[in-house]
Amino acid sequence: MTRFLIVDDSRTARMTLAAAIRNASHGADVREAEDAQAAMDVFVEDRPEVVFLDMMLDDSAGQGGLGALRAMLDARPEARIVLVTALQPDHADVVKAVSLGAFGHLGKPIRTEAVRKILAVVEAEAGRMVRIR
Amino acid sequence: MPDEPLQRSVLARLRDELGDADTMRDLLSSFLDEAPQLLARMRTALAAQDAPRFHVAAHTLKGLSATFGAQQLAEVCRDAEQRARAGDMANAPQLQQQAEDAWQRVRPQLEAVRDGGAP
Repeated sequence: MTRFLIVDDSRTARMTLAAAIRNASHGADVREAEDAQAAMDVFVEDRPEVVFLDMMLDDSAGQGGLGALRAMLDARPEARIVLVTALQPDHADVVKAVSLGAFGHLGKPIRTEAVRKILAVVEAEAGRMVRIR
Repeated sequence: MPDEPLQRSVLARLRDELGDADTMRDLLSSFLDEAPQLLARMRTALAAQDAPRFHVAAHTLKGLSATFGAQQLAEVCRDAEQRARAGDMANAPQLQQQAEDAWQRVRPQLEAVRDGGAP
């Protein structure tokens, strides 16, 4: 079963995305973190395969989601980090995040159909990895 | 500015997508708790003339408001967010008041839906 981590300082935003993930992937293992430090703790300990990361994360280091993205990809480059943001895909911060290795981009407000599409891509890629082996 | 504080079609779509009345009630309860906290964070940032904090709080409230169909509140927060991001706090007091007013208009409607009313 795929393990997910949602990183957002808004409890309501985390709950909404968790509900959308569980709706798209019944029985999904969904963890939550409200700041960058808690996210890294869960990321290292529970090793989620997919992380939904709020770009506007209000972290103490003042680096927002990009700082957390760098730290996660340094620790586990294979992790799939999906940016969650109301920013447009061509916004400089989103372009920067993708160049750093972000897996995808989920727009806000959250739509279940968009979550479903991202999960389908993740599962398809996992399938390809299995076949290659 | 939209005519109605609550765009009920947005809530209905969210409920249909999630397909679960209990989840919808939990989400609305959380939003009803969190929105006043975000307005308070905006007030604190405004008092300190802290544009980055004001921007982040307005941004979060904008996203949640749009998710739950509170379109008037979302529009005010969008304006506040954009100005604060540019470091412009000149109209922030008026925008804060508009956000507070928009919240007071939409809050009872959201509470009614949470308590079992139709979206």
